[in-house]
Amino acid sequence: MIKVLKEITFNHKGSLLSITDPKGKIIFANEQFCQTSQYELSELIGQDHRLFNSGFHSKDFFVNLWQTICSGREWKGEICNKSKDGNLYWVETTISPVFDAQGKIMQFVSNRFLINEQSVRNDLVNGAAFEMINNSHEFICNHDLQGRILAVNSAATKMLGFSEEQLCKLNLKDLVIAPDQERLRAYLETIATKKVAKGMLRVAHSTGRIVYLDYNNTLRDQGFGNGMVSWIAHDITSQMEADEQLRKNSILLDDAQRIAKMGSWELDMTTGQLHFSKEMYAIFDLKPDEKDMRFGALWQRICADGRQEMRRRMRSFLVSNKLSAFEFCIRDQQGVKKYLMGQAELVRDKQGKQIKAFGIAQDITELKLAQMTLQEHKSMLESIYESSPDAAIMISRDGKINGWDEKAKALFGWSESEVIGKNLRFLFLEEESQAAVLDAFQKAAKALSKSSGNIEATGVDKNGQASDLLLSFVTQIINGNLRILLFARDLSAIKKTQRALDFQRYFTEDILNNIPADVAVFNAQHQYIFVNPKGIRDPKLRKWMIGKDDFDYAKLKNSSTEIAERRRALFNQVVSTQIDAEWIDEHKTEDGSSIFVYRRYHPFISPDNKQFVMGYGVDVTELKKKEKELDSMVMELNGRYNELMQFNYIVSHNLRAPIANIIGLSRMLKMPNVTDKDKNQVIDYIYASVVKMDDMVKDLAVILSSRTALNEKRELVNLKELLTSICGTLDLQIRESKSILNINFAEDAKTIITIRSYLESILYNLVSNAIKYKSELRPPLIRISSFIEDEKLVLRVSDNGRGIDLAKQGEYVFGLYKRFHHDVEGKGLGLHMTKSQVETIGGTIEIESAVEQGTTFTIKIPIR
Amino acid sequence: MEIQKIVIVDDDPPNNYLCELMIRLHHPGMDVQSFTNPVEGLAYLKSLTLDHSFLVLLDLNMPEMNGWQFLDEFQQKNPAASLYILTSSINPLDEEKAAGYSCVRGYLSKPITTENIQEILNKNE
Repeated sequence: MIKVLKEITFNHKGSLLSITDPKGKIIFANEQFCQTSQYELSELIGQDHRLFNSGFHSKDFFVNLWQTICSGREWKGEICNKSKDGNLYWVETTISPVFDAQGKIMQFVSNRFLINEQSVRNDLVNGAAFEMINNSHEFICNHDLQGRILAVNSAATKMLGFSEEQLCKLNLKDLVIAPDQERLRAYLETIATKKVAKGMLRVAHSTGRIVYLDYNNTLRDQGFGNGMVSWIAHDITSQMEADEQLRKNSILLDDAQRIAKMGSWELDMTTGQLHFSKEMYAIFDLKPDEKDMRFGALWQRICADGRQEMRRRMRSFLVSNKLSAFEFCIRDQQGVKKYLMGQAELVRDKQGKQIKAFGIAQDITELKLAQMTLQEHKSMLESIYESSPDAAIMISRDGKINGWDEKAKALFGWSESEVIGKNLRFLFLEEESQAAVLDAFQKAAKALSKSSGNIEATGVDKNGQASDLLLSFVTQIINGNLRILLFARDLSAIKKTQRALDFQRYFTEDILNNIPADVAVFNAQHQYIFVNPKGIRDPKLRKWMIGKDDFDYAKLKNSSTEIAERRRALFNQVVSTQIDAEWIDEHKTEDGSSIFVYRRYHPFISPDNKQFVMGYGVDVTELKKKEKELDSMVMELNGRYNELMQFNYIVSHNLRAPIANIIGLSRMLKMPNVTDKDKNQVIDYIYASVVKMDDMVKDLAVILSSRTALNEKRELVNLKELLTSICGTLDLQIRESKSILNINFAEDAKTIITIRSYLESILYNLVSNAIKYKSELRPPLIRISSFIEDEKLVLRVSDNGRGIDLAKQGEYVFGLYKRFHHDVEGKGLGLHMTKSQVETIGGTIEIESAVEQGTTFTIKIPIR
Repeated sequence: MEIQKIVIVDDDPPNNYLCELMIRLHHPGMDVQSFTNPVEGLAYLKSLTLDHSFLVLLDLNMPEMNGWQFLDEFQQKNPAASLYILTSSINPLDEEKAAGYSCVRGYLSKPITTENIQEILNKNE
């Protein structure tokens, strides 16, 4: 584009052209320029324009010029230059910056036209040549800095309709129309300070008509005296009026373009100026005041994949002068893709020079999108058709084949040329099939229905191989012609698949129905969508359960919703975490025993992204029973271990104590200086220690034997009989201590099935303890009672003896060899034995006691 | 300081007799007091002004108050007193536990011997 512009400009014979680099150094000047300036091109290259400085313009003038072009704007104005031989000449100058693709200033192109009024100006400067002024067609007048008119030429009197005499009495303020008074003041200020001013002012003609004056004035400070301004202006009224009309038309055009989403553009090939219509701004998403209309920036908007094509078109455009309608894409400021339709023409002058290019661009995005959607639908339909398993056969009205697609060929084995024109009958094997097909065809041919519905028939292929086919005729009137299409599908493949699926289904169902586990599948609402016969035996109930949940089941059974609530909570947990949950349900059977079921919820998402949960349960009652046995075995082992520890203690301390005594005392017998009295005492103590040791060994034997009595026989024991027998044994102690026994066995607690010898030993120990640890203050009162509580026989022995401080001694009460009273004979074995015997018969023993108030032992033994 | 008084606390009378007899034979002038009830023994010791002329022989396994309970109270009141454990226990844990009490000077296993008596009396001299 830039190259094109260069060509245009440099071939322009009338103008003085020069090109400088961005620093203002001349890199090129044309012939006209060299002639006028009287320099050789070789002398000019590398120089800047100061070479031609006439000294006429102020320094500010050039600073302003330079700032304008460096900011990327065009500068226009008149400059007085000096040629090599010292002559001054005025040039109407346009300096335009030229940008590279990045928008950086690459060069300045200056275009100048020699001003004809050069001599006029020189004369004015010299204060002469009024004749020349009067003959000029320009508006020329002199005025002072207050605006008072000093002199006018005849052109001015004509333009304004006033006489010279009239005008010279007036001030410019009297002539300029009211809305422009402010601009006049600004002009007078500018001309006073800057010495030059250009612009446009509107003045009133004597008839009231408005005259537009385009001025370019200079303050003279010599010759005619200080503060005189020479006003040189064109009457541009007719242009302005035309422009106004054009502006009105342009608004109409803008509206039209907006409606059509069509914008127009115009490129001045001589200046490189690009003009966009309002709608072009909208299409390119540019701001209305966008000044940065550089070609490079706009080029970037064109979608990258379309730039190659655009370049090609531009090249051919410059040759053919015409760019016929073509589509291209751009992206707007937001990066949104737009489809545009462009068209352009190139205008050349008589010499064939390119003058300007103009064109239109229409936003066809909506149309394009609609087309694309349509194309999509079309290809979608095609793909549906192609991927359909059906063979399509076109049939003429008389039943002859006149169309045959690839799938038909695959299905029947015949190529299209082999079947065209044949009656479709030959494609079917049996008469029965043929009749059914032809019947359906007749109906379709009469256009009785658009689709015949499905019929099954046995087809035969080229090799005589028969196959089950599914057929349907479709009748359609297209463009007034009746079209009959026969769709055929090979059923044998489908049937094969169906059989495999059926087999798989039976197989799965067989597994699910016979597996020894409850299996259920739930939907996302926790409703049963499947449950196997092990889960629910009753087929009716099983069927009812589908689509219902555990709450519905509880309602039906009129039972608690506890299980349903628990399962719902677990279900929700499984769905939210997608992790299995497992638990054990305990179900009571009719006979009161418990069944334990290990259950598990397993979440899964179906291929179509639906949530399911599979639930399964396995009967673990046997396992649970074994677990319980194991638990009790561990408990017993723990007990045994504790006992062992206690035995260890007995051996290490209690049993050792009398032995140590015997050893120590025996040594004393051998010592000299021991009196006979002492020796007798030593022998007594040795004897007591031996007896004590013997007792302990016997006790241990008893304890050990009680541990091995697990298999002893249980029998019905009458409590009253048992107690009578014990009282017989303790007769002496009871009588000596004056004990009173108060016996009260409840009617339903007179007997119990248990190990007689154990219960006897327990009762004996408790009663004998009650006597042994009696209070010093009162005779023993021993209450023995029994009753039933919570399916347990409660046996209670209560005394009014000295009691035990449980706060101090509680934890040792049932320990081995624990004694609480140092002054009463006892080895501390009784209560320990009692406790282990109670436990052996499955009971518990508790103690309540208060010092000097008494002790109560409560034994609870399960009845069953 | 020479030991002038030995207090024996053990619920086992034969042991106490053995100790008394042995001390009597070797140290005829020694004041020996024995208690089968540790509560009474502790009360007696509390009534004395204890100094280094006292020695206590203590059993561990006793009814009403065992040796450890006795030690807890005794040590609190008389941190400077000398005390020997005399027990039939052969459980090493007991010996370890006893070493944790600062007033415990030694751990003797029953029966007490002449050497034991000599040793504890010499040590305190």
